[in-house]
Amino acid sequence: MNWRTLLDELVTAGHLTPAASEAAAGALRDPTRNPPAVPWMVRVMVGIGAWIAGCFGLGSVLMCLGLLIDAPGSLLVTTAGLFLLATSVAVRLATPRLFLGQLALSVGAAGQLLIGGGLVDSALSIGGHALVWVVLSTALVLIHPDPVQRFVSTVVGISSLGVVFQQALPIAAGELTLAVTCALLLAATFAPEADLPARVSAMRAPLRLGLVVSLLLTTLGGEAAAVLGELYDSAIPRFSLAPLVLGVALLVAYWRVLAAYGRGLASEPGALAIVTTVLLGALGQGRPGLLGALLALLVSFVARDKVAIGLSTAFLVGFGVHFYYDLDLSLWTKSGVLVGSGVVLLAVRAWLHHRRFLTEGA
Amino acid sequence: MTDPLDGPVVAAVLHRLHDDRLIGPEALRHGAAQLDAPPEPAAWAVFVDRLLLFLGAALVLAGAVYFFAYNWDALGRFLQMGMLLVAIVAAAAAAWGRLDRPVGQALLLGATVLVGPLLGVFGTTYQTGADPYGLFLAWSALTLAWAVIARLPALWILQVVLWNVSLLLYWEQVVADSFFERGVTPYLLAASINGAAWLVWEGGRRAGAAWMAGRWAPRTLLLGALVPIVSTTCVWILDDLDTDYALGPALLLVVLVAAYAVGRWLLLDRGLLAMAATALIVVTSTVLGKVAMEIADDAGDSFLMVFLFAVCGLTVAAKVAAASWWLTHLQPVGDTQEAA
Repeated sequence: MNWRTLLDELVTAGHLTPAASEAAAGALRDPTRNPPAVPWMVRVMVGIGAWIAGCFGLGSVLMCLGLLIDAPGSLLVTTAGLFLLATSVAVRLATPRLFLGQLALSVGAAGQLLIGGGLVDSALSIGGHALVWVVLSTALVLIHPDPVQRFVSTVVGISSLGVVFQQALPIAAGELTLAVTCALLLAATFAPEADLPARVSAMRAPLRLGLVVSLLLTTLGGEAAAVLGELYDSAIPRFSLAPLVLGVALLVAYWRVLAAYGRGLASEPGALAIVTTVLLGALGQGRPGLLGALLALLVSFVARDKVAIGLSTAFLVGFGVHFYYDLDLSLWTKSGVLVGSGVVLLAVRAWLHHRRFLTEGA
Repeated sequence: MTDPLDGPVVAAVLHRLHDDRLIGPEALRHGAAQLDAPPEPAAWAVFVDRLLLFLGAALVLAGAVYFFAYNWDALGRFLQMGMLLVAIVAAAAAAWGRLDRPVGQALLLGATVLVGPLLGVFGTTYQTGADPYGLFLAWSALTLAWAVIARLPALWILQVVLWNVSLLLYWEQVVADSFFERGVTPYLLAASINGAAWLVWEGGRRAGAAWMAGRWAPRTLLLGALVPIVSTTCVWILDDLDTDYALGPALLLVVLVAAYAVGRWLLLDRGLLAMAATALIVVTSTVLGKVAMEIADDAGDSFLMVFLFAVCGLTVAAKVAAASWWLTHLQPVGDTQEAA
């Protein structure tokens, strides 16, 4: 939906007078009040540039500390990092100007690298280290207005949370991390926009993309853990209940999507979705990859996020390749399984066309 | 100039209008409800259809590959070649008349890919002693007609990939004495091929070829040109302007001018311009870093190095900010279109 259509609807519904609609249109056309959106490739360039500049800044600060103090302790380095980070947040909040915002991002990146270096040198345990990053990342997501920083902090925060769970409760670390990630992702995707205050609404898109990436990375970790566990027969967690966690998350997602069209889980599309999920979960043999990628793809499509859709599709294909490659079957049997699977999917597609589920407008 | 009213509704702007008292709470709720609206059923239909087609076709193709892998040694050479040939002909025939649809395009791409293994089996059956680069060159030559007839961007990108691989293998096997003596010349030649292909593509799009209107293929070609050229230029800078790498900066200048001309004047393509801007930022940052290190080394002053490092960081930030401001505020010139 574009602004023109929305303003017409608001006038028709009586929520806006024609004069108020003209005033709003004028504000939308004013580049000082409504700056143009930053294209995604420019955001990628800005993000990379910020970290490069941050490395220069980090090098500068470290050399300075090394010259001024013989052996700067971890506390001094961490404090310097926190100071730079706080400066970054303050500057970014104070002004939306592009150069200062870019500079703030770079200074913040240098600050985070310093904090990381200081913590590594400290007496904190791995769990304590990770907990600090969970708290710091959460604060940055809530306070820092830059979407690139929010995305990075989301991924760092979820990864650190996984480490905290791994230290505190290794037997269920993977499942707990997945549960938290899925819960936040579903909330970020399906929370009604009308109920969100402006500050929360602004963090929704980068938070959701960060959670999709975190979900995909966590399921990748689960797949890797399954392979390593088989190779080394060690105490590496196997993510045994991960398919259950992801299955529940998928059911919630199906329920919310179908509800938006006035349907329930008991409808034909709902039943087909549930059967697909159960089959994938059974086929996955306890590995979270296929279900995790499917959930990521579903929420990305609902959110109309092309970058997330591309990433999720790539991971789905990757996990599919790994699943079939890892089957303990002869090449002959494996070829039959592959062809059979492909034929089933194509047959389902043909059936959906026959039932007109895939007819435009159906 | 694009009217902002034709742009998509964005939550942040909706809230800003409310905060500026230009719309009331009911209007805000109405707008927010529109943002919550899920994709249209037709969009779901296309999504599920393409996903099932892509995954189903990929699985069947993979199964066929595993079948051949299992039985390969047991099959005679002529049977191996025969089966590949039948698969190629069947896929190409099935694609005929369907090239305007994803099914037909996937079939022709599959047929093109299978020509490679066919040539591989042919090469092992008839031991001609030819170098491997010949296989990729023959692969390209045999499938060129399909790329011309089908007018599919994916087939043309595959052609360019085959040209690149042929060139690099030819250089390694025929021109250079060993892998480590290749130097940068073959990479710059490959970059030149990719750059020329990109310019031809843009010319074709400008001439009105509808199948060339998509932007992923020309952007991929430009990326294939920029990466080796920028890498060589950075080495030239860091290696005290060694003349062995001097072609890199010369080609970089040509490519940057061309990218600006195409992306700014012929078609407003922020993707092309962002790539060119990133290339320029990387190269100028390398120059600054090199100069800073040399000044500090010559002066023997560590605090000067600290200062210069900080300056380098500031300049990178300033360059990126300037580039992103420019890219965000660009408007089409005259009646030029804006690329999606």
